[in-house]
Amino acid sequence: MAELEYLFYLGCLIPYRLASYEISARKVLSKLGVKLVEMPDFNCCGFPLAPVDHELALTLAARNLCLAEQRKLNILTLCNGCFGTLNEVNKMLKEERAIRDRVNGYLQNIGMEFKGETSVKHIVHLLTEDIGLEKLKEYVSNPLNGLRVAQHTGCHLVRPAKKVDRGDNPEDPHMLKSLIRVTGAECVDYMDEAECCGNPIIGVNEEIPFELTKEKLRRVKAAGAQALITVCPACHMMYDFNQPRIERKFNEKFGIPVLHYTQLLGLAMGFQPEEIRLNQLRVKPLDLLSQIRR
Amino acid sequence: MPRVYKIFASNVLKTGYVYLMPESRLKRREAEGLPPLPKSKVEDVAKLFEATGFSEILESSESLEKVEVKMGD
Repeated sequence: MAELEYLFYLGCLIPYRLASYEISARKVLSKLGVKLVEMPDFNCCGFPLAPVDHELALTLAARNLCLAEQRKLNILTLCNGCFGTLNEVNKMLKEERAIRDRVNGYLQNIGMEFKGETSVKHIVHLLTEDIGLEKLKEYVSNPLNGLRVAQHTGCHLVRPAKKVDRGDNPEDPHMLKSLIRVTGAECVDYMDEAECCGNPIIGVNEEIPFELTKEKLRRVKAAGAQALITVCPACHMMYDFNQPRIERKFNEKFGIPVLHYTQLLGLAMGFQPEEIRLNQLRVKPLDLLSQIRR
Repeated sequence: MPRVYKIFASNVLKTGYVYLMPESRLKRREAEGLPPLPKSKVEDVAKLFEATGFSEILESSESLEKVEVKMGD
C-alpha cells in the first residue's frame, strides 16, 4: 500500500472535550501506516458561525483549505461538522467562480488565495476508500464476534447528499455499517437510524435535542445493541456525555455505552481498552469488555 | 443574534477556536503524549472578520443588546 499522508485537521470540539477520539484515532491510524501531518495555525472550520454569517463561515473554511494547499496535502478530519463544512466549501469554491472570486477578495487581506488543489476526507472515507475494507480486515487480530452494536452515522457526513457527494445514502447510510462488520461485530438495524442527534441546535434549545437523543437511545436499546458507535464528536457528546442527564430528565435508564468507531476498531486490532481510552467514556462499557475478554 | 453565537464569535476572534481551551486541558494533552495544540494566527482571523463585514454585524448586535438591557432596567 502506497504511503497515505494527510494534513490532520482536529477542529475545536475534539481537543476541547474528546481526547479519547483523538487518541484512539492516532493509535489505529499509526498501526495502519497512515502518516498524519499536524496542521499548523488552523482556525475553526466555520460551521458554528454559519447560522449567523454565511460569508464569514465560507471564508474561515477557505483559510483552512489554503493552509492545506500550501502544504500540498489533503485534509483528514474526524469530525462530521468540520468535514461537512470544509468539503462543501471546497466544492463550492472549485465550482462557482463568482463565489471563489469574492472569497479570494477577502483572503487577499491575509496574503492567501484559494486555488482548488486540495480535497477533504473524513476518517470514514479514508478507511473505506483509501485503505479499503479488505485491507482493513487484515489488521483485525481480535475479531469482536458475538458483539451486537448499532451505528449512528450522523448528518454532516452524508447530508446534503448532492453536496457531500461521497456515495453514501443519507436515509440508509452503509459506510459505517460496513466498517463495523470488518471488526467482526454485528451491526443491528433500528428504527429512524438516520435521525439527527440534535446537537446543532443545543445552543438555542435543549428540549428538542434531548428528546431526539432519548428517542435514539430508547430505539438502540430496544434493538438489543450493546453499544452505539459514532464517528462525530458532537453526536458522541449527545449520546455519551449527556446520557446520564437525559436518564435523569426522562426518568429512564439506558446504560448504552457509546464508542467512537476508532475505539471499536482498536479493540478488534488488539489494542488494550486503556490504550484507546475506553476508560474516558462517561457510560462505562463494562459488560461489553467482559464479553470481549471471555 | 442569540448569545451563544456571540460567544462563539468572540472565542474564534480571540483564539481561532470556537471554545476557549482551559490551560488544564492543554497540559493534559501533553500528559497524554498528544502534540501541542497549534496556535491559530488570530491576527489573520481578525482581518477576515473585518473583510467579510462580520465585525460590524457583531458590534451592532452588541450595541443593540446594550439598548435592550437598558430598556429592560
